[in-house]
Amino acid sequence: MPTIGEAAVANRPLHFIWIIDKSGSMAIDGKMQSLNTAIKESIPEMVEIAKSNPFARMLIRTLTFSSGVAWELSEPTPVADFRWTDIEAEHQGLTYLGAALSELARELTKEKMGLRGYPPVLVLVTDGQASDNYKEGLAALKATDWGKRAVRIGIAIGRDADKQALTEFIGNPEYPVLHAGNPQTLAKYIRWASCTVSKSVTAPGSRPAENASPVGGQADGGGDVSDWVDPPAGDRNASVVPATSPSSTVGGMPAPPPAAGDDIW
Amino acid sequence: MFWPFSGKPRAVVDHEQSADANAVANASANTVPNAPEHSDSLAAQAWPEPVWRIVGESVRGASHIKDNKPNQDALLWKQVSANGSRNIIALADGHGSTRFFRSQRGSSFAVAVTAAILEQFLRDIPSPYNPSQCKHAAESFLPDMIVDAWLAAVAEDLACEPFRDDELSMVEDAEGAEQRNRLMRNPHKAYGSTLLAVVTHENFILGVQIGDGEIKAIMENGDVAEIVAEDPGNFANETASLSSERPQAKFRVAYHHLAGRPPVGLMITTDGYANAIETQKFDGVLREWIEGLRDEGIEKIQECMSGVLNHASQFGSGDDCTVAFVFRLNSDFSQWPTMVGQSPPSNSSDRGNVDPTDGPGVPSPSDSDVNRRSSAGEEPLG
Repeated sequence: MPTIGEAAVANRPLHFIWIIDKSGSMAIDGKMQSLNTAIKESIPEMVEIAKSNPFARMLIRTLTFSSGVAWELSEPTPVADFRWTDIEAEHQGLTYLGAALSELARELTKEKMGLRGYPPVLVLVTDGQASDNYKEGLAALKATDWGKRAVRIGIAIGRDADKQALTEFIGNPEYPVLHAGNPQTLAKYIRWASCTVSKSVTAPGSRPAENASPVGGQADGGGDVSDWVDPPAGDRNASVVPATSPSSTVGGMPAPPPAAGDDIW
Repeated sequence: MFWPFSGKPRAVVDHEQSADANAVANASANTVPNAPEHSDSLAAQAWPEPVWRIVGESVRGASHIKDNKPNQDALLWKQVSANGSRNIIALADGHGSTRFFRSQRGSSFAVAVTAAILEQFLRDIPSPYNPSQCKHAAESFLPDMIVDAWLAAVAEDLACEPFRDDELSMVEDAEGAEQRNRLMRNPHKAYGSTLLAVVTHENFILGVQIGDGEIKAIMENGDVAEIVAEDPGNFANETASLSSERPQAKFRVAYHHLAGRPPVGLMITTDGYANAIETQKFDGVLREWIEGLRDEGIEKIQECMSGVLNHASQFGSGDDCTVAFVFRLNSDFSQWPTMVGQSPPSNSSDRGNVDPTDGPGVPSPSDSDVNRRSSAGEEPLG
């Protein structure tokens, strides 16, 4: 019996990228330590989720930024081989978010990422205000084919985080930033972002790119064009859900867990 | 129903020329009357009239089996002429999210209405040997006709069976109340589907597509060419759809005048199979299929297709996989690339040329032979 093409069959890559702020302020009140712990504790569940989904090959990378940008893990690494190395905050380090987003833009091209992957998951965790022009980096990121379609999640640690920048990163004002005011809430959000979101993203099959449709004209079926246009045009992230959502899901993505305990950050 | 093909296409009336079919069929590209400069030709030599045979299969995706969802793809083909030169093949991929809970019907409607329209196109087009008129008629009329017919089929289905409470509750539970309300305002969205279709004719190949999936040609020298150019917007699980806003504008219609040797085969596939194959190996896999059709025969490949596609879904995309091959029996494989360790065909007659009458497993063609598959193991209908 012919086995045509079997050697070329492969599951589809899911690129998952942590974008971690390691500026000086992350050293205060144990924020960086809590983040390291939360990510480490989420790994076993990520591994289990990856095992249970043979149709996706989860590949993880870690990008950090402070007064510069560095790939802590530059090679897309299968989740089964992923080991978290604790990140240390940089003493008096600034928050070069724009530079980090520009670096991501250089990576999220069709040339480097190929064509058959699932939409990548980008999780940005920060506690501060950008020290550079983040808008420029964000524009570059959203101009890339993969960056535009990525599932972008923004987690703000503490009250001082630049929620406006995170909101713009997420790219959909309907879905606010996840605010982590204590280690327990941070751990919940990290687990949700790394496990629940990646599981949802890897549902096979396409869906209409409605927001890529030409704007205007008569809507199908006599309805309103806006009826079906979820995210803003040119910015496809529709997967981050407000913590206050009355529904258990929004847009097919399970809602994140509610915050826990009192804020200490 | 208004059939524009039954009259002269507008705007090209002045260019119409009568052409003797046989004369044109044996002519080179340069001698085809009224051939437009932008007409795409797949080859440039004298050629025998193509004798095509079709194999195809659609299997339920491994993830759909796991989630107890149906196969939402549909496949239909029809041999229109007894000699096998004229065929219609249509595939469709219904969207998989919960909100598209009737996409299985949507994809079935898509292939059915498209096949009917394309058959009418083949029957009624006034000058099938005039490239510019064929191209113009296809581009000008097919998208509107297909969309109108698909929406009419959806409307009829909704009239017969309005949304049930359990269907709407399923959407609300999975995607929220607002999504349910949106569906109520635009019920045809629940039927969302892509569409890929090919028409073969002794003088041309026509591709019609909206959304993702692949329509490729494999040439006698093993090269792979696009029948319908890719839409860069169909990427990362996003696709244009029959249920999109103004879907006519998202159709890609590609007319290829056969001015030289026709391809040895055409492959039409939904994204489930394409996503299961590593991109850089895809062309090689197409050549494997062609070699299988050449060496094993049509029937053997038809028999093994469900197994091959199930493997691709299980170990690749997880999605429904639907593939059709249009294989030219009178191909010349003398220029076919030789794999390492493989003996080249000594000449085109002992291995290269496949005789439609004595090749292994060649089914007898019959006019109006319709094949339809929508899930593994189903028998063709019609």
